[in-house]
Amino acid sequence: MVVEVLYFASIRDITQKESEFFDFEKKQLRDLVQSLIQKYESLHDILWDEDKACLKSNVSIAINHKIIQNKDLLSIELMEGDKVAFLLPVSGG
Amino acid sequence: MDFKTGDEINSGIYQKGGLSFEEIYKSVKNHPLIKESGSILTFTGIVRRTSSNGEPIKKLKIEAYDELGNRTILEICEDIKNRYGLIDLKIIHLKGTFEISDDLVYVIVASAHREEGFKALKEAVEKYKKELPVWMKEEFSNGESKWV
Repeated sequence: MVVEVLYFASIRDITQKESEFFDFEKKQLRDLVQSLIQKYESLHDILWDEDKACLKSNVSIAINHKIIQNKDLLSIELMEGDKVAFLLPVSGG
Repeated sequence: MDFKTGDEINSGIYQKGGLSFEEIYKSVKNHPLIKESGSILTFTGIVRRTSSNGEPIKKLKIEAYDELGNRTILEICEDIKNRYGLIDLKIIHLKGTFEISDDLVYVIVASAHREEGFKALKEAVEKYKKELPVWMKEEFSNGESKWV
């Protein structure tokens, strides 16, 4: 399944890209996070809470330009062509 | 974003240089119900010369998630406009690279009376700062930079 991942701010600095397509076998967000961290090791410390084995509490997820409010983000089932963004705390002017 | 249709300017995230304060103010003054207004209040966020921990900065870069940000701005404006019964509310957040004292954000509120205008203006500023998917990178004279 192919989804597009959108990168912003410090995450974009690491990937050096505005967006990227990911082709992975399973469908859950946890599988995408795994592929992402495998490709960009530096994202591990930004996105992943090792003690709780989940996304860090300050990371928000947007799918198709909508923030997802879900207690179990990692179990969200993604669909072919989804646009997924990992958002760090904002800092407007 | 380029949401200009005639004299009307929609709230949203715009590239620096794409819009001036005067154009936005004029758009509010041209609102069809402006004659019901007794006040127009404005807020301009500008680049401070020091970072949050007091270090002098050289430049500021603002990056935005446009699709989500434009939707969020419109939702904030609709909500506050309806709750306070405002004539008009515009939030314009700029993105790009900025020098010290450059304008970053404009919020303009037109209301029948100043009391609800002041409250709405404060709430609009607090909300965009908390909810808009916009990120700020401070650049220092030694070449280093950091996202804040």
